[in-house]
Amino acid sequence: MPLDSRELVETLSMVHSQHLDIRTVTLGVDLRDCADPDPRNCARKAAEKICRVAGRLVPTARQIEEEYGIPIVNTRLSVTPVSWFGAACQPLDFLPIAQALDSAAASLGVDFLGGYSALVEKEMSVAASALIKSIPDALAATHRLCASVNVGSTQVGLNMEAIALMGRIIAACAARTAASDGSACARLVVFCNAVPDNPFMAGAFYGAGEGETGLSVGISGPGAVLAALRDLGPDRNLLDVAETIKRIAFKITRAGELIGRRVAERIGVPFNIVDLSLAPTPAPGDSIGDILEAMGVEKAGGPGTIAALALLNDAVKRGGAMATGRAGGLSGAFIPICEDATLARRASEGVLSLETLEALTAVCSVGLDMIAVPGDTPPETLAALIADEAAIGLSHHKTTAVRIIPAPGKKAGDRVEFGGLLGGGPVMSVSSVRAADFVRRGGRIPPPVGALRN
Amino acid sequence: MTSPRRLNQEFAVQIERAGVPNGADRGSRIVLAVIGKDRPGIMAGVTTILANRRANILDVTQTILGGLFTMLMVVDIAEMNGSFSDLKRELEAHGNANALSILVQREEIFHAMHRL
Repeated sequence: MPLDSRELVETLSMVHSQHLDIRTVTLGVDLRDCADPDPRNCARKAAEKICRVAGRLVPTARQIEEEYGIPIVNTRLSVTPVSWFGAACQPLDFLPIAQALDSAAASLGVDFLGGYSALVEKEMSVAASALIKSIPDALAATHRLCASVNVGSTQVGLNMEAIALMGRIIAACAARTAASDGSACARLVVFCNAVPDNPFMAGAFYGAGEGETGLSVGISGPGAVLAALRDLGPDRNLLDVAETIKRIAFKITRAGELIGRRVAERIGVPFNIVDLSLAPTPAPGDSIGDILEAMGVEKAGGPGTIAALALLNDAVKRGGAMATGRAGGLSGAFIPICEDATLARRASEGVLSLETLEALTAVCSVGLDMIAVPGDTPPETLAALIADEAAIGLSHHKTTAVRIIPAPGKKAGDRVEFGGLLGGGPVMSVSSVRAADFVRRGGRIPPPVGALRN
Repeated sequence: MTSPRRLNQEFAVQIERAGVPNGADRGSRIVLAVIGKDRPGIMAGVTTILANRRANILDVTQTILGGLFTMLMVVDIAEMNGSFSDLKRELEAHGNANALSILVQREEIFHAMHRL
């Protein structure tokens, strides 16, 4: 059946006035064959392999963008966790690898490279521990490198030793980049139930079970959802709202999958997954907060917010799962405060609190995302916040994440600016109730008994 | 007189001979959207560029919306002289010189979004 002009106009306006874009095409590269006892050799092999495999990624993405008329906002790389392929190095000095990966990413023109990562949900290996302790140096010495640490899973529980350590690491990252409001923390994610095929930063790594290479796509499109809800009007019931979001999510996902497949074809790598996460940007009208408010919650963060986000999250998955058989990654709504102008505004007005964001974690993915907090927040409090978020993931069999920035020298109510996609926002207040005695106990929080499924 | 059933059958045969569009040949089709203040010669300007490059127009919808000329075209560029990027740049330059907004995209993206 030929296209009718209504369909043509709908797509054109989704792209040209509603910010429909592809948030990221992320090429995963397995670096396990780059292991070497000499850290410098390991770094060189990794950089060479990335440049060989991903040499055409950026020009191809630009070409596809031109031909299909849909902007590809970021091109990214995800690699095998450095703590895996770097474990053979003697000494365990990962800094040369961090710098080589960052330089390779810069020379290829990709925006971010993820995989400076360790998975320590049960225990920390010697290499994992060394990698985690090197994160502040690695992030301070690089610009595109992203780090992530998995501290828990529904199968094995929460590693409280690792969580306590991450509280101190985050504080150290902020201190190392004090001049830029602690910006290194924006490139560091702490996960529970991390996934091996996430294309979104800062938490992307190319995990166990993935192929030699694979190209994944992260969709965007809050603006298109918002426009559809505004067309629907304020009087239709929430089943109609869900149906409308589902239909738009289908279209956004189909666009994302097509773009991803075409990029993969042209650079000659397998197509991997489509991540069905609606990713906002700081641009006006490209906000998850606006969608919640279009549903009828006066200000995002007020009563009704959790219910509205639950509806949005599920409707996006329904439409997306119908559109692609390749759903993967995180596939849940993101609510990164600094990257979403409306959420940032509501947070600065005091309508959206840290506690509400914690509650929202129950119905979306990555609950405490791009949250700036006072620079004097104790590392034990950061760790306890991580534990709270991870516990939601633990109990609900889902991925949760924390990307929190204790902005040096800043107090609640001040502002931070990171620029670009990372945006900016208010410094949110954190409870002063002490968590140090709880965090200091260490050990592990056991998995829920429901995890024993076999 | 030919029966309606017979006509339907002949029509089906004709369509079959003409070749029903499929995924393979959609790859060479583009959608062209032209928007601008209405005046004589807009369509002629655009179609001249297409004709000179041997790009084949398959479908045209044109109307005036609130004084704005709006035209949507589906064009086959399989036999075209030059690359997609060449055509796009030429059309965009034409648009800039004549105060027209001209958008060019592969048709495949529209099918992906609107067809199961």
